[in-house]
Amino acid sequence: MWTGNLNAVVEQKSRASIAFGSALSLAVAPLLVVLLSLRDELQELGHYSSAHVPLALLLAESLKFVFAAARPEVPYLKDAKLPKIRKATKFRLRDFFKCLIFLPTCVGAYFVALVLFGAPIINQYEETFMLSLLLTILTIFPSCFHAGVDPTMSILTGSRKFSGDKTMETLQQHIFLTLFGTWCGAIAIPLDWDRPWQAWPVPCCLGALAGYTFSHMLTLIKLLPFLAMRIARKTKY
Amino acid sequence: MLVEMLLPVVRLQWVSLLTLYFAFGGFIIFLYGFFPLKYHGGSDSAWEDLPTKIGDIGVDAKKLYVRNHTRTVLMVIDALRYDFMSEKYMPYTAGLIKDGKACLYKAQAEPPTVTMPRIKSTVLKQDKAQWRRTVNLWRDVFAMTTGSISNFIDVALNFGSSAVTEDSFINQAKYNKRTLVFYGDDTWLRLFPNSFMRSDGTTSFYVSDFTEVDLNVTRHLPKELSPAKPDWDLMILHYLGLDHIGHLEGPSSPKVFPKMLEMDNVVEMIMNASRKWDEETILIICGDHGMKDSGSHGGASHSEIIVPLVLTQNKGCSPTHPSEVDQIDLAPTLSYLLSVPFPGGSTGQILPQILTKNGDLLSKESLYTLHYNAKMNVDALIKILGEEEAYKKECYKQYLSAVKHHADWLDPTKTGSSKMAAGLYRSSLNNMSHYLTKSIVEFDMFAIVLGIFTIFATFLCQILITIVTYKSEDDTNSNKMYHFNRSNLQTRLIMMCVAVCISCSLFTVVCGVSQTESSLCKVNIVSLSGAGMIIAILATNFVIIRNIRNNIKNIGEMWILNAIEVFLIVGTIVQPVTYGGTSFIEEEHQIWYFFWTTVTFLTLAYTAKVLLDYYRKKSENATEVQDKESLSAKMDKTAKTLWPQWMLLMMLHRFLRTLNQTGDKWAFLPDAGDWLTKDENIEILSLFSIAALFSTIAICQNNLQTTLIPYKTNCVLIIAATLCIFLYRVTIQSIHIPFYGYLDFNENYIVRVFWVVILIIILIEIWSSKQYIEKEIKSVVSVESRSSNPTKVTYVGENYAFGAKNHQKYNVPGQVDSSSSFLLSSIHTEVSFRMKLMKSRTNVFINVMMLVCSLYLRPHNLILVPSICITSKIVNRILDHKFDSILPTYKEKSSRKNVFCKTLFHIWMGSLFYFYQGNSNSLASVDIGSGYIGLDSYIPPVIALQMGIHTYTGPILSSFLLFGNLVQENNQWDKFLVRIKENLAIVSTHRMFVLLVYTIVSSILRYHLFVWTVISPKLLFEFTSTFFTMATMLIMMVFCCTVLWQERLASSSKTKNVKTKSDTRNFED
Repeated sequence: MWTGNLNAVVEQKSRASIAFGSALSLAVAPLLVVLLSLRDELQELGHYSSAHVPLALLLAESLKFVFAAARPEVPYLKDAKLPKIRKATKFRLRDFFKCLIFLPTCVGAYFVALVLFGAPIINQYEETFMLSLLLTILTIFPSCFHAGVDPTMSILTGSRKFSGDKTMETLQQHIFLTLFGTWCGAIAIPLDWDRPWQAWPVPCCLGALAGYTFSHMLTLIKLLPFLAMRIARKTKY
Repeated sequence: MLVEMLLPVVRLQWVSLLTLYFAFGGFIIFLYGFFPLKYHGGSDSAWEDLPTKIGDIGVDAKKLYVRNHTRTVLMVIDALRYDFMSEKYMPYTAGLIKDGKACLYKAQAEPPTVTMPRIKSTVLKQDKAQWRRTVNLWRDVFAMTTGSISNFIDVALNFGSSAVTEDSFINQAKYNKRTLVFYGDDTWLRLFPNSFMRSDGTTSFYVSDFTEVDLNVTRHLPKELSPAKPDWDLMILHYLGLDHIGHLEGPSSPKVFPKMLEMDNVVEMIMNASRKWDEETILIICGDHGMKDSGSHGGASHSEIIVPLVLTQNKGCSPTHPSEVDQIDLAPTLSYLLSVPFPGGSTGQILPQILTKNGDLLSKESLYTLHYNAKMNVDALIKILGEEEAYKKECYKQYLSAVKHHADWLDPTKTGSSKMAAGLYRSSLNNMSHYLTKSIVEFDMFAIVLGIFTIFATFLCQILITIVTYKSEDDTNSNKMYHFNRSNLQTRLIMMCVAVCISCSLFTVVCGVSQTESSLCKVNIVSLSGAGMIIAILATNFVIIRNIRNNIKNIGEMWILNAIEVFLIVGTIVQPVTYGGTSFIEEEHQIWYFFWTTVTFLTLAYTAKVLLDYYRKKSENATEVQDKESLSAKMDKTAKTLWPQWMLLMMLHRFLRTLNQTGDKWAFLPDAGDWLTKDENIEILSLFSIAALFSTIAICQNNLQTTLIPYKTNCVLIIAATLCIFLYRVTIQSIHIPFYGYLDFNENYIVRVFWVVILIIILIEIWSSKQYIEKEIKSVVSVESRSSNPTKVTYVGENYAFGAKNHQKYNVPGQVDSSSSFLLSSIHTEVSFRMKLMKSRTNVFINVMMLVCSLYLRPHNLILVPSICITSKIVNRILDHKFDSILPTYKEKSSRKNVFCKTLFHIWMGSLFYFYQGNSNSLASVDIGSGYIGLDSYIPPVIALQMGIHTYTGPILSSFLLFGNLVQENNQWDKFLVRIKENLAIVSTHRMFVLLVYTIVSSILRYHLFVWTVISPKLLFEFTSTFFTMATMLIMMVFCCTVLWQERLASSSKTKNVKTKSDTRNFED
């Protein structure tokens, strides 16, 4: 009974931060794309000159983490019985160093995967690198910071089921939908429309952003009942 | 006997093959509707063909169809746009037009059949671009000279031999001993060999050359023009410079202006020279096609197909306003100017201004020529539309009344108006040209719909067959659906359907090919056979559905799928659907590469997940993984060898992708193949191909381990064959012996030696299998004859009929001595007797196929043969896991699902290697050279077969490799047949699905701009690929049959010799 109640509280807290994160992503990613297309720089997505895009996303993701971490903890959560639950949300120094090694490895892994998928090897490594950077920031980075390196690995290999853990489920969904978006984006490359934005890796970047946005939208929609309830409660007081 | 031998064919084991044949029949009907076999006039025309009667009045054709000796110059300026014929670009010519000395027409060129590639690097893809260019030019020249439009099939059938075989004005001129002179693009010389008295061809491909190409033509002019009485009747000049400028710099380039002035000067030069001659001279200037604003051409847009046609005559040209003509009108016009009969297939009309004689259109001669022209076209119209249809048309009535007026006018007793006659002839001709050109682009919607319907019906049928094949609970139950194997009535019904279908399709083909004029064939037979076909197919469907109705229950069981399987299914379904966009037809390889990489990644991830799961469970000491030695060994092996191998495989495939850039958009990019075939890299290429050949030998030897042939002999033979391949490549100088150089042999001898070696391999296999059978039968018989106390032992004999698993009970008197009686022991424990034969045979055959494919492949592609074998092996191994056994959803269904996955994987692999090799959906990528390997003379069927094997190396090898794998995996004949049945059901379903989707797509897109450039070639590729699929399936079937036949023959002869109870060993059924 006690643990059930506690779980509900933790759940609520994580739901709030998830909702905030989704709303933030939902705002940032489309905004970036709109800005780029307004400035006619969409085809620049694969160059170092557009490094502000991944940077902005990085910032947004960090902001989310800060929000989640800075939430005032419910007093009775400090009970000694709960280290296991807190571990998932609490950020540790050791994890930080692990991440520092893990993230560049992921960029490299994405790079290799993209090359295997047919990205040019010799000529356009700048473009490929930018896409792998973007993918790392959109997929690995958030889950690394929210959950740590080991759970991220479990998510990627799909070797463990996270039924019940809302945060992990959401992270998993974000990763897979973003990757799926990237995959779908590649379809636009062979079309013979001869548009500048068909250049490698722009469709994939856009696909990744679209998948990312869609995933966050989905999360937000799923959380709507909870949010409505919360707002209703707030107005009551 | 024959029927008996063919009986296994119609047995349901191979029903998938049968349905694929039906679908193929439907596809042929579809193609018949999509590419109506065109009326080509057929024969060369002669003077006797000229009409000798007008109405009832006899006339002398030779007197009336004459032209005062005229000298004609045909000046073709490549890519001359209509707006270039203006005062700005060609002041002199425009002046002539203004002064009424020349007339300007708007000529409509035919939209091309093959697009120009997007050439950026002109050096690398020269061959392909040259070929496409030739085809375009071929079509333009074809239209200009024969007076009829070539359709896609003409181009495709002319593939390989580029000379025009149809009647043309050049052919007529040659026949009637007119003298022709030609300067310009050397394509003309290839199209009309030995037709010109003097000629100088210019290679058209050095696109960056703007001046030399034209100077090379013009430099001959002074010599030709200076004599007071030149000895030629027709001079053809073909200028290429403008086209080259267009390709590189576009129509607004500053270089266009001087180029046009240069052309103008040539016109002036000819005109000035012609004034000195006593005979009339006519100069015709035209473009063969236009130019887009971007400078290229190859589409059907207005600026590309509207070209100017200028006609100058000494006597002037009355109406100056531009009127519209067709490119095909040149052929009758030039024939008339040369005073030779019109080309047999001509459907154009003579240019009006040519006929005026001193402004008088109404001379007897002109009117007769008009009549001749009109009569030819009316005949063509009747051939195309059929008599009844043609008589109803307005133009035919006009023609009749024109003839009447003409006859009346000629008849001194009657009064007729020559003016009326001429007017009526003209309008009749104008109206007719509409039908004549339309008939070529018109689709036969009836046949198209019929074809699609047929494919659809067979596809539905095949789907049901597949579901039943996969659904049946286990192997022993599966024979339920084969009830009608036993039921004679239904078998006969199917046989009847087959007969009906075959005869109907034969009828259609015969009607189409013979091009009989009978309207019966044109309309009724097609519809009759179509109706017959539909009835037959519906009947077959009915029979099949009736038989499998009972078996469709609990379908859901089979379909618990993992991510790999889901993606394989989705990808297989989505891939044909992408044909809806023409870019995805041009870039089909991208889809395959993409899907393949995705599925390899999925497999990688899935395997990793299963391994992680397993080791986690093991470390947690979970009960389901405890004490399972085999599982543990399997997992360890997968983790240690298979998983890394899979990663290496992915890298290998990434490399193979770079071997040949293909498709359209990026075909120009440099690739590994280009780099290897460079002259300076020949050493590397040689080493590379030697390495590939060595790995082929290694794989062949690995295969040999399960054959019956003496191992060493076979090794020697395989090495000899490989050596032949190597030496062949050395003698044709595509590679050389490293650090040594070339050899000088006759390459055809080497190829012959190769075939002899292959033949020896096959013969040895047949001989040793015969030995083996005899030995086995002897041992069995000896066991039986030895038996002293006949205790009745019942054992389950092997299934001697294809298909039905009728566990026939043989009552064999004898001891149950499992060690000595092979047949008895083999049934459930060891490799069965037949499977041993099959294994040996299949392996030998796969080796042979690998060697044959290596013979045809270019040196830098030789690596593909070992690669596909390795891929197949690793794929089979990774799919063979029983990984699912540790998952909660696991049920005993893995072998069937394995076949399913493997089949889809191998279908994908086939397509993948097809594109790795550099093929695409454009005819330009077909390697014609491979067809001529080892041939001294031109033998079309052999060339086609060799080209086919070379082009479809990937699909053929992958399907045989899968077949070989299924043979290796199964030790019992029955099980093996079931596996094969499952395999073939999927292959056949996939092929039909592709056919169905693509026929629907192409009939929807039939008015698309790219219908001749992208969609039609793909149809031909689908045709050939279906053909080869059927051929491979047929070969597999023959394989299974040969084992049975051989066994039957051996046993029957044996049982006669050894007088034992032959009735008990009834091999017949």
